[in-house]
Amino acid sequence: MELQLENVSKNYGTLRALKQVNYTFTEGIYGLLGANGSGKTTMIRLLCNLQKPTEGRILFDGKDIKKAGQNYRSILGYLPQDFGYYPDFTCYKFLFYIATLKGFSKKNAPDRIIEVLSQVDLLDVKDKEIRQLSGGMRQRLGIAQAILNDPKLLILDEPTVGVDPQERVKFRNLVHRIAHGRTVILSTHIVSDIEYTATQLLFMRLGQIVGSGTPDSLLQQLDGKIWECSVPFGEADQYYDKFKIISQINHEDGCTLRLFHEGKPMEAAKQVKANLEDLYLYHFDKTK
Amino acid sequence: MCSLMKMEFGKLVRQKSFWISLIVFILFMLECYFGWVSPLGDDFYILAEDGTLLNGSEAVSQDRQDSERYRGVLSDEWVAQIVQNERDNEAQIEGMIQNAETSSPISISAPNAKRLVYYYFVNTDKLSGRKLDTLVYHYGEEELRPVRDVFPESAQPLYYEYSVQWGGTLEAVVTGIFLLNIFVFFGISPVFSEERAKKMNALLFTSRFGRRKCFWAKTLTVYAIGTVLAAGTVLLLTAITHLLFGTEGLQCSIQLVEPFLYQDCPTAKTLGTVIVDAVLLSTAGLFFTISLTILASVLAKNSLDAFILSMVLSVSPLILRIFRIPDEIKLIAPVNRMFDFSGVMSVPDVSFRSMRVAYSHAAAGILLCASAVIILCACTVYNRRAAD
Repeated sequence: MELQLENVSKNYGTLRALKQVNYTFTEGIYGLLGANGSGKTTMIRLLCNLQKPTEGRILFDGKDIKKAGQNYRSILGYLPQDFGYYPDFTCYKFLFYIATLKGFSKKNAPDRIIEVLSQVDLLDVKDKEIRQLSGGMRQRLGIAQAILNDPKLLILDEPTVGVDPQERVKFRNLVHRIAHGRTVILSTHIVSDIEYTATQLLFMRLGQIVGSGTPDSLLQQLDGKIWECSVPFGEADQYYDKFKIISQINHEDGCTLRLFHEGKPMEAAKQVKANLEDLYLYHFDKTK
Repeated sequence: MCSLMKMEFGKLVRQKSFWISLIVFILFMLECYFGWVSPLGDDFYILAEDGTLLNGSEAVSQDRQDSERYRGVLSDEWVAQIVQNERDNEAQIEGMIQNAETSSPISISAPNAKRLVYYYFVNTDKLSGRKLDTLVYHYGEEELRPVRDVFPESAQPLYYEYSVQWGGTLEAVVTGIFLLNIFVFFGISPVFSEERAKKMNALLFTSRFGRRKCFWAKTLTVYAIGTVLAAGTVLLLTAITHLLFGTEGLQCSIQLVEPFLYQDCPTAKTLGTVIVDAVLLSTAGLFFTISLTILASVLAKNSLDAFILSMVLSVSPLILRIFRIPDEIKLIAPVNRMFDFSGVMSVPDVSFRSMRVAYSHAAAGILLCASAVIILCACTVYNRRAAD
């Protein structure tokens, strides 16, 4: 399966939300990282054919998704950023409705719904109204509806917004479990959501992909650029003016600063291994 | 598609607004029916020949018996006989009314000889300008000629039979279907707007069926509900009347059914034909309202907006009343007819090339075509709109 963006741009009036994006998705988990307003959701809505590009085209296995119609939608599972539901529906009834929309017969739908509810660990609450579920459970229900048709292409738009840490971990593991054999595109601005799951990362800023690759290859870009140094409390502020500080950890006798720098920033500094959060901050600092 | 329609139906009927408006509609409709048709005669009083005041089913039965004397085509001889009877009975009836110890409304036998005579002469132009004992005839030959030119069949003889209950049924059916329009605003307007308000659009649009099939499933569901309710209304009301009174009255000329409503109708239609025409036009009007409601629901962001917009769109043709626009155009819009079908019968047939079509049929056709255009517009808007 191949999903290809060819010179895709999207304008909203005078605002260019997406600029000449070229990228090809194949099987794997893609983490789409970017700040709010970076164009992630626009890109996802274009990929879901909810909006049409102003320029360029999106090809699914060589065919324009605008023309692929039902064939494309059959392999698509989508969880929108603001997941809509009918609060008075039970989980089962809601999934039955979605199953109907996805073309399941009355005979096949119940078994598949039970299977999916079990996958997302919601079988116990299948007869509960959605309004009674917690935020995390609702998001899992969102995943359930997205994977109901066993999609080859699963698109999740900021699925962990407003979800507590415990549910986020559950959610992450769930995505990891269901990702096998599919293309999963997960948009987020929370690095930990994709830290251990994404096989490919895309960094978006101002409507453009500013960096992409496997996590390891991207992290290599930061080799020799991430440093940690311990400094007394009183001196910490002056380093903020001099360097790009990633984090500050306080101790009893001072603090440890984590920072970017091309060369060794000071004598006492120790070079450390970069992580995805460093990479995220690095990209957004670099493109400023 | 069928399974999708069932789901859409289930979604609509789970809403309180649907049931509340349906119950209110049914109550109003039955109230209108029993108020106008009065099949059991609760509000119906009649003075029998012996001076007894009858009420309820007895009064209805007596009324039917009295009417039987006048059944038939109104001819010169027949009318002369009625006039004679009228002269003989008038003093006696007046006396009975004065002696009656009640202030209740009194009907002096439904056929009302004066009315029959009046229509006969208007219809045949035989006594224009002449004064009969109790009636003054206003129409002269000069006045009648232009009417005859446009409605040549108005010279046909009128036929009378007892038609009080079927006459009431005609009004109840027209009113019932009009009330359904109001039900549509409340009960059906959330069909598209709710999914938008609940942010379900994105899921619908990315599902296998996609927006096009979702649109048609919703639209057909709404039309199916409207059709079933309209058919149910017509069948229920006509079935009750038929059960109690059979088909008696359906052959009666429309002018002899209800003086205040149909006295100016120049057509040569029977009550039965008019009921069929009224059902067709009212149902087409209902479909038109449903189409406007669907368009409003597609445009609106929530159910309240959809309700208000559908109301505004549906009542907007009222503005035509301000301007000097011919009745032919004004009366196409259901809101300009409301509960009254008599205006429609005063409009001449429509000629199209060699074809001559009754106005009510032509208006129904126009409404159905307009409905189709509105639905296509709604479909285009729905298909082009980005999900929220």
